[in-house]
Amino acid sequence: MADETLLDVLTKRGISRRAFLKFCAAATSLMALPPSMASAVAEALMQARRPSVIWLSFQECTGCTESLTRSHSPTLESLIFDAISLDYHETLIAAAGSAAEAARENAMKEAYGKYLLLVDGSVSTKDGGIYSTVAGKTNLETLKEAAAGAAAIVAVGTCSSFGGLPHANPNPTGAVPVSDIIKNKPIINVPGCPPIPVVITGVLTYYLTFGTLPELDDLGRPKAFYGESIHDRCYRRPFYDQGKFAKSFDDEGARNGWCLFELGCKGPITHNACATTKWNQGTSFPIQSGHGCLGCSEPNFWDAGSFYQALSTPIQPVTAALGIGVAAAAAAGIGVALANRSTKADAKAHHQTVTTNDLEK
Amino acid sequence: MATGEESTIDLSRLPFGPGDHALLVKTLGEGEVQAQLNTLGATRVHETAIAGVWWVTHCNADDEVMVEFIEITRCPAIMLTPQDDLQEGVEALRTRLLNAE
Repeated sequence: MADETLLDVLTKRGISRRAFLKFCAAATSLMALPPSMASAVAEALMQARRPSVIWLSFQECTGCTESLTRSHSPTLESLIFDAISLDYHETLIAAAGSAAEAARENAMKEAYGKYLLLVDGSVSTKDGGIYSTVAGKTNLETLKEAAAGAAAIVAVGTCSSFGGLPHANPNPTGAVPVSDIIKNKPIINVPGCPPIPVVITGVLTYYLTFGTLPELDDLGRPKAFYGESIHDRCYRRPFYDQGKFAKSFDDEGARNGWCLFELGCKGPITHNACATTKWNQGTSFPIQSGHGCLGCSEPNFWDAGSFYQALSTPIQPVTAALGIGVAAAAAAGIGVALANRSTKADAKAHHQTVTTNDLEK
Repeated sequence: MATGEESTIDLSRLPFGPGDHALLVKTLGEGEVQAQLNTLGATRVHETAIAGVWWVTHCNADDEVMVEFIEITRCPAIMLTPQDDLQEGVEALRTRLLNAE
């Protein structure tokens, strides 16, 4: 079963050539690749083999699994997941107890060296990692065992990518990210608390399609989704640039949709796809709903100071103002959005580099 | 226009604010052509009021939007009959004619 190509799987379901093109167009977008890459994606998918996928959950809240199972485009996702052969997932599988453990061990043995290991939750290391165990084994031991036969590891969520909530001060269980334990395997960090569902599937699709890791930033995050800050793509940016800030929740500025910088928005120092991809089938994201970004896809965001106090390092002096009226802001928003696409390089040249000093203890 | 270069814009890569998407739809308007592709759910295609600017919306079987593109082209590629389907078409026609007797 694991030797079929993705195209075999699709053909069996009676997918026409146009349907395959449609699937590839959507998959290309899902992976945040430019539309011109759709034919390369089609080529790759025609030869892609179904990798075995093992999902391990450690010190986590199950939010990442919830996020994944709420992915939109169910037809696309179900096609992908039919294609990937999810061999083990503690929450989603029907078996339990020793039968489940046997299923996992079998899957790992059969696909040794080739399976994709997905991990959510941080790993406890204090006192030998005894604070988080499954079936009598510490997560620490399970991770090392599973990683040994994995082709690559995807750390889903901020806990497995950076330590997350368990890692926050005073870190009683000695929680650490996967990358602190496993040093000899390629690791993709897909942070967020939780990550945006289609970001998770986009990364998996990329691996499925190309069999390699996408380009990663210096924190191991795929640049396609984490390459820009929320601030750089935020539709409220014109208000920031004009110095129009909400001063308290539900004041006039807030009701006019002004910038939430003064209410503690961490958008300027947070990298994620929330401002473009958004949440719940592209419905909205925290800032659009009137609450500042928490910075949940960055390391140590729980210890980075209040969610409601402004960042101490402004990007530009907040008194700088452009002469665009509030009435034109909506049109300016889309104008800026479209212009951003082509003049992003120019815009970047005018930004001050933001330091992450306020994130460091 | 001189080079016949086509281009596609993925709308999910743009940071729309509330109302921006509707504004874009209204600004581009509708032209003479509407088409629907039915596979893996519906895909709606229409040429906007600007010739050569097409709007392609791919929906899944539950009619939720998977992805939307604005394509600058004389005709979106998804509309064209795939080359490999042509031979199969000839054979299908042959079979139908035989069975029609």
